[in-house]
Amino acid sequence: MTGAQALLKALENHAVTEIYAYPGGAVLPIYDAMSGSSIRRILVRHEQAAAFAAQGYSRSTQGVGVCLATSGPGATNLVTGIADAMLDSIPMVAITGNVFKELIGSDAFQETDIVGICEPIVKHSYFVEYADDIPRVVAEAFHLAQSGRPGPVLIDIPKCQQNATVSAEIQKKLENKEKFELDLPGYKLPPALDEDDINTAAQLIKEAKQPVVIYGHGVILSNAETQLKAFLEKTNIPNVWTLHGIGGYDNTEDLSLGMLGMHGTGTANFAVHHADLVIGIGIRFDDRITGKLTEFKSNKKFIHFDIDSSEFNKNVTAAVSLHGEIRDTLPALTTTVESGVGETWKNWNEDLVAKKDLWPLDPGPSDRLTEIGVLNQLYSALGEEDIVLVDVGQHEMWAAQRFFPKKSRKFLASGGLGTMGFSLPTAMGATFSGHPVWSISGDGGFQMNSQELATIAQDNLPVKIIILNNSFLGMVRQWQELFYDKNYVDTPLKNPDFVKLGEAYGIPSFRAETLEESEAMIAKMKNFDGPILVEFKVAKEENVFPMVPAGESLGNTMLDRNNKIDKA
Amino acid sequence: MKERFILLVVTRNAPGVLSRVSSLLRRKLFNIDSLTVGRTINNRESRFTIVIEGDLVQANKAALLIERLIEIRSVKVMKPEQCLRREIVLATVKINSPEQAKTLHEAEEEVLSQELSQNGDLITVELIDTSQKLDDFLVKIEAANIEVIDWVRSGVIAMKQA
Repeated sequence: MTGAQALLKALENHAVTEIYAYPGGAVLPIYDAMSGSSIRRILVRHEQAAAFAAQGYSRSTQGVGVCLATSGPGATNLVTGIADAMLDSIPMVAITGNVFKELIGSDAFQETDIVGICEPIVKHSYFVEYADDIPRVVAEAFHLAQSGRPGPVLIDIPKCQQNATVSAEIQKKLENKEKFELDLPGYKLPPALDEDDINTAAQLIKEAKQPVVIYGHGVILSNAETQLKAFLEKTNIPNVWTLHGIGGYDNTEDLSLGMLGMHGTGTANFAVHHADLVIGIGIRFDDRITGKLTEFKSNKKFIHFDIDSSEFNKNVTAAVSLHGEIRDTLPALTTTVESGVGETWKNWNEDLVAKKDLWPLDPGPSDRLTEIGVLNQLYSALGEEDIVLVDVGQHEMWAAQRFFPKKSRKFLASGGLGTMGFSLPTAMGATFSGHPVWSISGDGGFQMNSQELATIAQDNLPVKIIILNNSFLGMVRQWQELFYDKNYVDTPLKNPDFVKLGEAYGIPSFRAETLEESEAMIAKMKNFDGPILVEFKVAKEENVFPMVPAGESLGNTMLDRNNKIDKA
Repeated sequence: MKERFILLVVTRNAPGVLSRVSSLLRRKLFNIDSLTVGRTINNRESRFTIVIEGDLVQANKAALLIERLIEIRSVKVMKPEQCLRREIVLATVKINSPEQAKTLHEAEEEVLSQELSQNGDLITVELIDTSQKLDDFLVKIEAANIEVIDWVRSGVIAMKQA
């Protein structure tokens, strides 16, 4: 058994069924071994798409997606997808080939120090020196990727070790599907919860007059959705969520005030701005939700739940930091907090619910086709299991404000890195969840990975592709309009005919230009078997509101061009 | 307030650990005053002594970030006065007069020292003490116009006082 065969066997033993990959010189032994493996290859057209497709599998299924690329440019093309996974805490295993060990460091053809390049953007990385180490490294990589705070793990394997023969002992263990012992002595999972901290947190809640819960990705990554529901139902604390918190709780409840942050709802931003106690559950107080940090922090106390202790006291100093899996830590607080405590802030709750009616979301114009119009129609058409992947920019924010899936892992976005071109390749991986998959992109983001139409066509991946074409890089244009005197430098795009483009790849492709055509197209897409592409020609210069201008406080949330929440 | 903190870090003795630790501190914009690393009595472990400038909050942040790296076994944040600290200097100086020779000897007596070699008027000395006392040594000999031909410091090693 060669190192390459051992790698594939180890992946099979970890229940890997697909691998998103692109061949090249330094992974030829692995490709040669693939013909004897049960793993299905998805042949992407650019390695970046392999990394995103692997993420799409992880994000939609709780599994660990695997991508593979050759050395040099193949490996560096993975980098954006790996960085994206790191910032969003997505488990992923990225495998790269490298040149022969004797050539490492000699600037050999297609040699890059991918372990060095990826150092800041992986949870951990391996350079495999001996073929015999491969099964243990794979076992460790899967364990690291999924446990604690999840993240991407890189395994770089020189070609000589793919060719090398593994020992009979290793081969036997692999064939018998035996477990390989992990050698991770420094890797610590969180300690048991301190009861004093729970009591202090319960006391802070008891003393609060205007509390708010902000929940985020950590709730979903920890599978703590039911624990969050129990906590919110017992305490009656109004709740807001981050972009990645969407689907973590029933967002249609009265006290669910909306997404928080730069494009959060007026009520969500108002509530957090005026809160005296913020309970952050699985969030990292990112600048996109805090606005101006000094004002965000003033006059309030924080309780912070997280799996990663380096998040504590990073952006805000919490009165109590609760370190651990949220599915374990949150129930402890739910048990300890007094029943009926919510009576204390009854008026606060009523005020906030009234604000929700006062500041509804923009329903969008009825006289022309806009992104909001298409998104509203799509949202009405979605089934409970449908997965929506947005790209980055205006449509992402409009959708995030309006989509309230009943389940988690149904609204997927590139949150931390904000990678344009995320939606299409990530959607490819999400199709392996077995649920209907909608990919939404703007005309700009779509063209960052449009080569993947070939992959979708070749593998007949059932992605419902929505292109919201306003012929602009809309979000950047909005900033140019509001803050740079409409100086539209390089934001207008001269685009190809997207319908012809889709057809050229053999994908049924259509266009909608009015609200009526749009509604009919959404219905067609919903029932379509296999990949389908629809270009929606939407109005050019729409703006996303509410909006907190960069560097300003949540109290300065602009409800529209003329009204701010604290003056409205 | 800017002060110095010492991080006592025990890691796995593996290739790339030094790079992971130092590049992490670089990208979080910590200023490393000194960093030393060597094996512990366990061949599979390395021990770092990292001196950084900053306040206690920053030092604790740095420790949490380092601890997050997979190959780290433990991190302790110490104030300098809580630790026994030592640094080694090797220095070659040029002695031009009996007065300079006298000053050198006096300065040597303030620290743990020995003369390692002499070649004509060039003397190479080994000095062991706290960083502060090694700084003081340099001030003294420079005040006597003793020319320093070569000078190398090991960086601080430290351990918690028993």
